[in-house]
Amino acid sequence: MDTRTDGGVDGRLREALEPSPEAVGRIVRAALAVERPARTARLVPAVAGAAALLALAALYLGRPPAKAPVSIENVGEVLVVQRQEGGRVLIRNGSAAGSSSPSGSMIVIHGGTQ
Amino acid sequence: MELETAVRELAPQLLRYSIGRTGDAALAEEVAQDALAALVQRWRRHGPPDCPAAFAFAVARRRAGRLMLQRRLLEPLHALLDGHSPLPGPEERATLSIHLGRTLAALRKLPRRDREALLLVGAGELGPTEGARVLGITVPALKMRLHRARRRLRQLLEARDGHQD
Repeated sequence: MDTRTDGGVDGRLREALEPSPEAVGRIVRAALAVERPARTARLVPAVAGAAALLALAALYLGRPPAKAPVSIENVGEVLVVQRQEGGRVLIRNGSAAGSSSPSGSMIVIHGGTQ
Repeated sequence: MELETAVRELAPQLLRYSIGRTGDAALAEEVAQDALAALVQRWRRHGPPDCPAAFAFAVARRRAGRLMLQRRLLEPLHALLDGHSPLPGPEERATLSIHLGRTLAALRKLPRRDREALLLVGAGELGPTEGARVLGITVPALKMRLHRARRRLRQLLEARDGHQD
């Protein structure tokens, strides 16, 4: 089964489908006119991607720090636990805290004999 | 081989293939030009492909398939909006040469795979190895399709010639 022995069918096909020389010339000129890709054009997507990443990083770093729900401060032998909502707990190991807050404070004595 | 030489050699082959595939001269030019432009870009960026002809025909084949599908999908919409179908109408078909029109009609009667093989090798002048590569099949399978397609097309053309006499 030789593909070249086509019995003239291929020739008839080519003859029928033969394009005009003008059409051939048009597509050759158009194809060869395709510009060589510029190096800068190829860099554009990479630069845009890097810029987007930098912007995201700047947004992340520039945001206000999240507030902790409680803060713990050591004042002498007393631990002062300050809640974000406003409450406050004083913790003293071994004996009662010397003074208590006027409002919203609680003294917890842990490990003492009393 | 130089790029310009390759483009000049491939242009008529791609056009013949594309006309046979689409049945529309304007669409065929678009397909062939896109395939050659892709080849030129590839050549200039990365050097010539292993087989420039197989590369260009593979692009043309995909492009033709997409354009034909696009046309078929958009046809009802175009007909609805402005009453004009993007498919070649009776007048456009009449402007095709009678010879071409009859050959295209005979080609349409071939099974799709056989027709594709014949268009690549018979009209596009690809070798069996390159044709098989474009279609993603073995050379013996391509030869089988070619054999069937040629035999059937010959019968159709002879029947047509008999009717004319």
